[in-house]
Amino acid sequence: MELTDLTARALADGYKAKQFSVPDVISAYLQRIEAENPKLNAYLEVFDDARAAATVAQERIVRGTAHPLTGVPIAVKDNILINGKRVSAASKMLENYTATYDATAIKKLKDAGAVFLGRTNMDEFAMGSSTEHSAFGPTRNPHDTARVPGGSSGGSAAAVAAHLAPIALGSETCGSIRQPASLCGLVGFKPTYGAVSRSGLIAMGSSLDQIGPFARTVADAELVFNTIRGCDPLDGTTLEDYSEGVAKNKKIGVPRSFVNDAQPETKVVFEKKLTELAGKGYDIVDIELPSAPYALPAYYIVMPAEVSTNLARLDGMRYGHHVDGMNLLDEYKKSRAEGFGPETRRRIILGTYILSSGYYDAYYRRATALRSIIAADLARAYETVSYIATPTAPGPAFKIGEKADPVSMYLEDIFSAPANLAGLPSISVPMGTVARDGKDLPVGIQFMTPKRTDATLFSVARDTLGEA
Amino acid sequence: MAVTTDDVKKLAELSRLALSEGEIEKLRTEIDSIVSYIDAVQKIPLPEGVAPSPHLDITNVMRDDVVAHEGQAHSDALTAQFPDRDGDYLRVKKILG
Repeated sequence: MELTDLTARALADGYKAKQFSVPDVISAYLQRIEAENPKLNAYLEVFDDARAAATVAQERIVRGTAHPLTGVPIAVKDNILINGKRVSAASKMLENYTATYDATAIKKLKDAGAVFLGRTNMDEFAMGSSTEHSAFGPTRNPHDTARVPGGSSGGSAAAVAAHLAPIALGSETCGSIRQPASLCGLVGFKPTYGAVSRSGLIAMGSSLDQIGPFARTVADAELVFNTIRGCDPLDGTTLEDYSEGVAKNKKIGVPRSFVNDAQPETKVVFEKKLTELAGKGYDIVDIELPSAPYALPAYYIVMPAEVSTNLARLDGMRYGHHVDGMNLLDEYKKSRAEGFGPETRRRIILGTYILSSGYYDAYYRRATALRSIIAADLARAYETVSYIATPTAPGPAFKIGEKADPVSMYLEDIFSAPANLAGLPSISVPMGTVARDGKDLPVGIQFMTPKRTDATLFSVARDTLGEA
Repeated sequence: MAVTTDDVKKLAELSRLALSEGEIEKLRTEIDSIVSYIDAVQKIPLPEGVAPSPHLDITNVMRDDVVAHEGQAHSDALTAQFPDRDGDYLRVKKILG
């Protein structure tokens, strides 16, 4: 077994037992990244101070004051600020931007002694489901390099799947952790909205954004989540600390008519996994979520409205890509047109349309009301069941360039949207594979539970993976 | 309702994006197709008294309006990224005629 095959938990055990040191592990990862990253483009930058950080972590382990993540390497999505490091959101707009402070999640990981390996590729400003919308080229799926890793946190997913990191941070506005986890065969967790501080996460849709982990085991995902979570004075939407009980029963609700939108092969794998869970003592019941099909269109109203607002600050004046023009307005317009890529421009225009006078009531107000209806529908379902399960994405990884039409790309997130709109926690875990072009490609099952019940998701996820 | 070329030109102006005629036309067809998709929200009846937000469990956070750090504490890090500067000042194009 290679050092790069070990989980975060196994690394901590190995450090404690003096089987290997942090510098050994970091060297192994840096070598593997050098060999494999050119094929995948998972990392945009590998940090040159990783070896120095490894030495510091090793000293802490020797002193006996280690946290379970001390010396554990981690990859970070390129929209999460690490003081003094470049952070570009995979955009030409912020290509040369240097973070001036640590995101709260990063600060917590630094306190724990984790070692940052580098920043990972993503769809520009986290807008996309394939990582093809990066200004720095697409990331490729380690299971088949002709295919996408999913997105928008595709670089983080590809890095963990290819063993270029044991764990990674991603961020999710709608499916951007769970869908790439599904397409790359990983565990991906989207916490309850407000569980993890958004301070230092480059904003996309502020009422939806949430940072979360990628890992190869449920235990590792849980460890990262428990390290980065918590109320933060720098993010007014973070929740007071909450304790989570155990699930009230072992009922898993399946919204059958909604699940029908998945590809036939995905549904076969999904049903097989449900049967397996029934064998483990879970009770699988049919539920109705009549508003679920409206979640994605509602999301494509709320999100662009928030995008056009959040990205208004990027005008090339104080930082970011700047183009000289005839006058100030001309400079704004040229800097923004040149700095933003096509998908970002598309969503800004769409958001501006949705928020236009006369359309506000028809779109934004209606979509916001729909969020409440969806949340109420879900709450009704949770009166009888503890979990709701669907496939994470309609199908396995698709080919690079396959979904050129924006709406076909948006449909990748059909099953993700309800959890994001209602602020619920949700986890994706591998459920099996689907064959495409002679390759077995991973697909994931996702579970959702009520707000503030994140821990119960880890327990059903462990049972699904057969993890102790 | 179809999105027109003039609509997109106006939206580009409001969004402060300098777009070519070709891009405007491409965006017109794309935005039109996306708007047809999101129009699905018009089909679902909204009951009376629906909650205005799914995040009603979050309370507003207030704090005193005071300076939270010493003056100049972050100035150097921030001004270092100005595209054009004059000392600690950000230099921009003339604003008033």
